[in-house]
Amino acid sequence: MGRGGSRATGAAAPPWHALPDEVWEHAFSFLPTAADRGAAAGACSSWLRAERRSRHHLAVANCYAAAPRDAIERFPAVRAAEVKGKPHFADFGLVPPAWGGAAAPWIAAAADGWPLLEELSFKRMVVTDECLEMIAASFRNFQVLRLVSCDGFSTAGLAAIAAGCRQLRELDLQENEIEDCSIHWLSLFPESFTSLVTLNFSCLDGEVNITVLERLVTRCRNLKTLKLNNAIPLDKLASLLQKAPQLVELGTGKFSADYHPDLFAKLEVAFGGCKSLRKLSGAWDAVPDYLPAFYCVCDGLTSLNLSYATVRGPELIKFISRCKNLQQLWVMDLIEDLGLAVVASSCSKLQELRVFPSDHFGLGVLTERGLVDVSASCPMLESVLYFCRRMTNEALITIAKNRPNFTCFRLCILEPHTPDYITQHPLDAGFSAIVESCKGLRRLSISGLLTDLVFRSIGAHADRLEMLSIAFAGNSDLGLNYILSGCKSLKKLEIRDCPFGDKPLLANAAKLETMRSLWMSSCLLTLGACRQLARKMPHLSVEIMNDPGWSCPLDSLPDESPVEKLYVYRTIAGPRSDTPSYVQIV
Amino acid sequence: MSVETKRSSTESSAASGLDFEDTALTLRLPGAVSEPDRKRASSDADADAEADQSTIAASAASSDAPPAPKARVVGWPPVRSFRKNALADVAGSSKAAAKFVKVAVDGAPYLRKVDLEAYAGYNQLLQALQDKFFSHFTIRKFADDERKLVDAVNGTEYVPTYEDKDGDWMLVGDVPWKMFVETCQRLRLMKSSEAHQEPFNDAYPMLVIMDGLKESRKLCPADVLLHVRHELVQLSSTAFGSLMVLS
Repeated sequence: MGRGGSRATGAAAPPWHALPDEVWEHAFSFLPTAADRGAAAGACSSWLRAERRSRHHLAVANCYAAAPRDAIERFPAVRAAEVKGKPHFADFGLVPPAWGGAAAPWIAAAADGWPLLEELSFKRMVVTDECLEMIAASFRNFQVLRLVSCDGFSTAGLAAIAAGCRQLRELDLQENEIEDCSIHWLSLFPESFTSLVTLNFSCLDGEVNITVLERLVTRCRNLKTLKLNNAIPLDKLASLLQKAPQLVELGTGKFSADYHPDLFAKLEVAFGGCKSLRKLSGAWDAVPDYLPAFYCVCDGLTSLNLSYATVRGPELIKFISRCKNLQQLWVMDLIEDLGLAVVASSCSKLQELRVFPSDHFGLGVLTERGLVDVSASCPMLESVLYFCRRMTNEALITIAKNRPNFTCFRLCILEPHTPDYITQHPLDAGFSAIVESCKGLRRLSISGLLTDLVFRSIGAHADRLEMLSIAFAGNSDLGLNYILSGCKSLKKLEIRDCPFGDKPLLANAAKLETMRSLWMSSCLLTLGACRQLARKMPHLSVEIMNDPGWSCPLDSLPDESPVEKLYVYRTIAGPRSDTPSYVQIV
Repeated sequence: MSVETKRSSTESSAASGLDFEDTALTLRLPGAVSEPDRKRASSDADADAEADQSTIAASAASSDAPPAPKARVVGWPPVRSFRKNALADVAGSSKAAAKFVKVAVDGAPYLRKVDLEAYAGYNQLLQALQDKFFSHFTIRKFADDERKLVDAVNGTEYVPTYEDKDGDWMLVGDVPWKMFVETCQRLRLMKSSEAHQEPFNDAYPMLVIMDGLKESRKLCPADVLLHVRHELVQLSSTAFGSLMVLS
């Protein structure tokens, strides 16, 4: 550390800790992650001051961990904020509606304290039309809006964004529940508006005015990402592509029509013009006859999301086998082992694989074989999400040996409690091999028949594990105890339908404060333990849920009452005030 | 599920002080809707897991008997509601009854299945069979048979035959399509070189197959071409003992 930055005039330079804040702010701008910045801020008070005043990007992983006002006071210079709301298991219907996670308080506070805000990203939160109107009205420089798995708004809200955000660069709507008010929100982008770089409305259910869309696409010369919804017919896709050959990322929306050689030719020409296309998604209802139209872009593709394409068979495999530079592949299990074998031999640069379940019980042939093949032949594979029907310890051990570089391993065997289908043993040995071999594992989901032994391995070996998802596993409290007393880096733990009770929870109460959150549903918890936990740990919010609501006050219930759903998270904001009737904070 | 809740004697249960009898209690909050199925499901399953190794197979088999009806568990498998709804829309019409039959191809290491209801006529079926078997080029590095999968490009011709309800092997294409779909039990694509041979020659070698698990079987000459090959492809590598050719 030099003496630079001081106004040296020949006199001794000021000691380094007296350097002006601007110096530190500049230095901190080189720190790559928020964690690094947080660590720096903890060093001393001047660093704390400098760091928080220069923080431009803030990620709030749990919207209830801190009050919006506190966040704004502490970090006054934020230009991009990302906030997440409901617990992860809300994605699977385990959290009843109206639980909370409203974006409104954050937007209201931001409107007040961050007038220069440019980017907002919400995940699993309730965003209303009023929220979107407020965004459009409050931030002169607003550029990026990203909504993932949110609900509560309609096309009316989108209209407000389109009309009001003159500098908008990105409108990214991923898997939201959007009400269709038949408002032509797209036409509300003014004719003078040309700044769009990303437009993703793939989750929108309603009709879209194609002419308006074409005009928008034509005048936004910087458009790089375009993801269409189901309402865009195939021939219109071809003309859109011809107007935007500079696209890097395309979501095709629907990709089916009766086969017509003219249309095929038109599509082929359109795709042929897209020399920069790197990411492809959509292909809902894809008709195999049209897949060859993609062939000319296959070589350049780094990301392919066919997880909504119900196409199967040789056309699918032929197509994927041409994508030699693929880094990310999302498919349905219709690809079968055969297809994954082709992926293994064709896509040597693959880093992420996700295989989703289709509804065809036992008809396809996707087994552990496919995953073993890919793990053997794709040296850069580090992230896997795999739904299948059967697994063996041997396969998992092989996979672990092949790929010690996994950072994310999520295996979901569809039927709970499924053992190794050859030996009928629990899958403890297999998952143990994974955590022992993959030292950098950050995220893990386990499934199948599992005893407490697997938790012993996880607790002992998974030092970098940050998120763990458990379902229908374990024998006793020991299982949970292994996890909570080990797993040094654990941040998020979610458990459902496991025989874990009060004891390990209370014995490891302090651990919970080092974690972001804990979810436990359909386990063996009692109200008494939750009360004890809340008393012991004032910085934890202990929420219990009972569907359909509490018919008598919580205070009157005995300690032995079972708790169906528990959600515990650390917070500096105290108990939240927006709980619905079925949630009680202990 | 009627699996007995066993009194566990393992260390884990002793350490936690919990017996499974305890966990079977279902004290419910007054006025709350009880969900006994799910709780019972998990405690039964726990009993399964606690059982001795020798009984794990039995209990595992009973606790997850595969075919329908599967118990509907809320939020399982963990697939986003958005995805579930989206795919339900897409799949819409394909809920009609399917008729899946096995398809064997001479020389292929495993069978496939096709849904006869998915095709409108013979042409479509044959096109699909062509696609399924002869236009892919899987190259699995550690298997040794699969390179022998013949491409139509090679010129090897196959004759489609099917087994009808009487157990007879018939040539595909003679009867009306609907009748064919009704009576067809399985399909076999026979090498046309064999189809034109005299199958009932006394001089034809007899094949004796020793099945590793069951007793040996001897097949009569007439059945050799049609059935033996068929059974060959179905035996797994562990079951297959040896093959003796007697002349």
